[in-house]
Amino acid sequence: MSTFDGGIGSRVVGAVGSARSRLAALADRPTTENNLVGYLLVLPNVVVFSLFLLGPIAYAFVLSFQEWNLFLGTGEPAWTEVFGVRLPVANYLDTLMPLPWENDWGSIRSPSYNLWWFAVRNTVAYTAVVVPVQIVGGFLVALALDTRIRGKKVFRAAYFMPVMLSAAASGVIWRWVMAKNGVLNELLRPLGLAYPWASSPDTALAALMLIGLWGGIGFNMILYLAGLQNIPEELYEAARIDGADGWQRVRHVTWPNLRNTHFFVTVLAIIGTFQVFGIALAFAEGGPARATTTIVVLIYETAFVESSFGRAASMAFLLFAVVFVFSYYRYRIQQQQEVEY
Amino acid sequence: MTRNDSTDDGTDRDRLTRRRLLYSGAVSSLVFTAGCGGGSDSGTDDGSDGGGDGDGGSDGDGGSDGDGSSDGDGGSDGDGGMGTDTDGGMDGDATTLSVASWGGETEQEIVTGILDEYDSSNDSVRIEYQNTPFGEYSQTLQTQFAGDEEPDVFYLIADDAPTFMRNGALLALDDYVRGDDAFNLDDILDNLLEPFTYEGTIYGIPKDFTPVGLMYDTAHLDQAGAPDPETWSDMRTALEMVKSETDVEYPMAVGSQPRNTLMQLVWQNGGDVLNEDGTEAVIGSQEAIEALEFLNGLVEDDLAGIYEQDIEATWAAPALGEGTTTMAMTGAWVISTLEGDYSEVYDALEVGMPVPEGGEEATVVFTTSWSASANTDAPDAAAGLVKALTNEEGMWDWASTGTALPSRQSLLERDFYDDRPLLDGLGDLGSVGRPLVFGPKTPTILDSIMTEAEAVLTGDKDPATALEDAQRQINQEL
Repeated sequence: MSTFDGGIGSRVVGAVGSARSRLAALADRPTTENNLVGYLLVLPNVVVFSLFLLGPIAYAFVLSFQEWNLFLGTGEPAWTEVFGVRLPVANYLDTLMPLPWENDWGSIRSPSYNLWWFAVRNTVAYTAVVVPVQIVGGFLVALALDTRIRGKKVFRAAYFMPVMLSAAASGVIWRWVMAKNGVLNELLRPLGLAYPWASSPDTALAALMLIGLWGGIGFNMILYLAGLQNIPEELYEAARIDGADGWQRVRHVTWPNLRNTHFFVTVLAIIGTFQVFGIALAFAEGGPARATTTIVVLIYETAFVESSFGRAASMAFLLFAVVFVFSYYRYRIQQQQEVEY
Repeated sequence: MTRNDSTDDGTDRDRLTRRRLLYSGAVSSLVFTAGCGGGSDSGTDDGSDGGGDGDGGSDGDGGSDGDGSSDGDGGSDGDGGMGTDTDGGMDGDATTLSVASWGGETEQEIVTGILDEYDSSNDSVRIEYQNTPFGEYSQTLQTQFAGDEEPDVFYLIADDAPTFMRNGALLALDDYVRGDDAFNLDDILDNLLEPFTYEGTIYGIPKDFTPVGLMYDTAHLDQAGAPDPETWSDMRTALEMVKSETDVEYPMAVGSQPRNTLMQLVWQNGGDVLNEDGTEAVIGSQEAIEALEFLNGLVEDDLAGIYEQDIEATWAAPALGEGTTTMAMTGAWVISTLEGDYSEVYDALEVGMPVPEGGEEATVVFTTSWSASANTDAPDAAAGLVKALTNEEGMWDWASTGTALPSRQSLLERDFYDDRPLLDGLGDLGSVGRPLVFGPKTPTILDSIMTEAEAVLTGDKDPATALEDAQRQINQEL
C-alpha cells in the first residue's frame, strides 16, 4: 500500500530507496566494506557514549589536576612540590595525605585525621562483608529455588523485589525500620535488645551492610539461576552414576560449572560495593559521625557541598584505580582457571 | 542443537542487515530522543527531607532558613526549580529579569505576589520567576553560574555569600543604595549587612532574618514549679524539675548535629570558631569545650533528647507543639506551624536565650539577602528590583506575613509585634545575633565542628578530644 502520492512523498521514497540500495551495495562487499556498515550501525551509540560519558570522564580527569573555580568556569593547575619537582597533583596529595599509618593509624580509627582514608576503611569493610555474603547467599538461594518446591515463583519474586526498589527508597525504609523507635526495636524491646542501630556510630555501618545484603542477594540469585540452567543434566547423571551425593554434586559439578557466573557476579559485586552511594546517603547521609561515609558519599560531598570539584575529581579517579585493579586481577585469576575441554 | 541457517546464508544476512540498519537508525533516534526528553524531568520534585541533623530547621514557609541541612517541609516544594512565568507576555522594550528563590507553597505565593505587583507597576521590567527547593538551591545556583545561566536577581543565604563575593559573582550595590535617602541603608541592622559586605562593598541586602532563641513551654515549667531559663544553671535546673515533676521524658530537644544549639553556647562562654583575623581555628579552646560539655551533660542525663532518635519529631515545631518536649533552640520558621497547628501550646510559649553566669549575650542568626548577578545584562533594573524588594515598603510586604523578621530597625519597632510575643522576643535577640559565616570555607568548617559534636552527643567521643580534632581539621583547611 502506498500512502505517498507524488510530490514530497515520492521524493522521500526515492531518497530512501536510493540510500537503501547504496547501503545494500556496501553490505554486499566483503570484509572492509562490511566493517563500514558495522561502524555505521554502532555510530549513534558511539556518538552518544562519547558525548555524554567519555567526554565528561576525560574532562573530569583534567579537572582532577586543577583548582577549579565554578564561578569563573576556569581552572588553575593545582601545583605542588613532589620530591623537589613541581607537579599539578596537589588534589591527589591533599586527598592522600596524611597517609593511613601516620598518627598511629589515626585516619583508620577516626574521621578526624584524613576523611579519605576513613571513607576507604568504611568502603573496604562494607565490601569485605557484603561481597562474599551476597555471593554465597545468592548462590544458596538460587540452588534452593532451582529445585521443585511449592511457590517457587513467589519466592523468586520476593527475593528479587528489593532489586526493583530504588536505593533512595530502600535507604529511607531501613532508616525507619532501624530507628530508635522503629519496627525492629519494637520487636527487640521485649527481649531487652533495643538499640539505636541506625543512629549509633558503632552499628550504623553494620546496618548499612544489612541493607546491601538485602538488596544484593536477589540480584545474584537471578544471575546464578540463569547460570544453573546452562549446566547440562548429563553431568549430574554421570556424577550420580559415580555415586556422588548431593553435596558432592554441588561441590564438583555445580560450583565449577558456574565459573563464568562467579566471575561476573564477583566483578559486579565488587564494583557495586565500592561505589555504594544511594543507600548510604538516604540511610544516614554518611553519618552518624561519619560512620557511613563511603568513598562515593565523600566524593559527592566534596563536589557538591564544599564545591571542591578538582579535589572530588581526584578522589573519583583514585576510586577508579582501585576498582580497575580489583577487576583486572579478578579477570586474570579467571583466565588462569580457564580449562579447555 | 539446530542453528538458524538463515544467518549463514549470505543473501539472507544482507537483507537482514539492511532491515536492521533501518531498525537501528529508528530505534537509536527514538532512544536518543527519549533520553533527552526524559532528562529534563529528572530531579525536579525531589523535595528530600534531609532528616540527618534535624535540629529544627524547616524551610517550609520560613524566611531566612534555619538550618541548611534539614529541610522539614521539603516535600511540598513541588515546583522543583522549573521556571514559572509570572507574566506570559513580553513587551517590545521591556527588560526581562529572571528571579530565583526557594520556599514552600506559602513563601512562594508571597514572593510571586510581590514580584507580580512589581511587574505590573513597572512597564519597563518583566519578571520570570524560578523556585528551587531549599535543599538544592545553593547547588543549583552555583551550577547556573558555571553555565552562565544564573538568574539576574536571587536569594543568597549568608553561608554562601563569602564564596560568591570573593569570586566576583555579585553585582556591587553601593552606587545604588548608598546615599539614597529614600532607601535609607542605615536603617538595616549592621550585623545582618556584614555577611554581604566584602572589602567595604555591599553585594546583597538582607531581606529578613531570624535569630535562634530558646523557646520554652511555660505550662510545663509552671506544672513543675521550675524557674524561667535565664542562665545556664537556671536552664539545667528547670530541665531537671520538668523531668522529675512531669511525664515529659526529654524536656529539651537538640539535633544530633546541633547547628541551632551549639555555637551560641560557645560564643556566650567566650569561645569562638576562628581567631579575630580569621587565620587560625580556636574552636578547641577551654571555653568552647565547656560549652559542648554543658550541652553533652544535658544529653547524657536524658534532660535533652535528639530529634528522630530519642524524640520522634524531626524538628522543633511538632516536638514543642505535641508537648513531647519543653524547650528547643529554634527560630522564626517554627512560628507559623505552631500558630496554625498547635495554637494552645503556641499561647504558652515564650522565647529567651540563657547565658552562663558572667557570660556574654549572643546567639546564632540566620539571614538571607536579595542579590544580583555581576553578569546581568540589566544591572540598573536588577539593582532596582533588589531595592524595591528590600526598601521599607517591599520588606514590610514580606515581613508583615509574620514568617520572618525584617532586617530594618524601623520595621522591628512597629506595633505589629506587640501582639506577637514570639516574634517580638526573637526580634529582641537580633542585636546580639551572629551569622554562622566563617569565610569561604564556611561549609567545611561547620561540617567539621558539627560532625565532631555529633560524635560527642552519640557517645563516641569526649568533648575536649572532639573540639581539638575539629580545630586541627579546620587549621588544615585554612
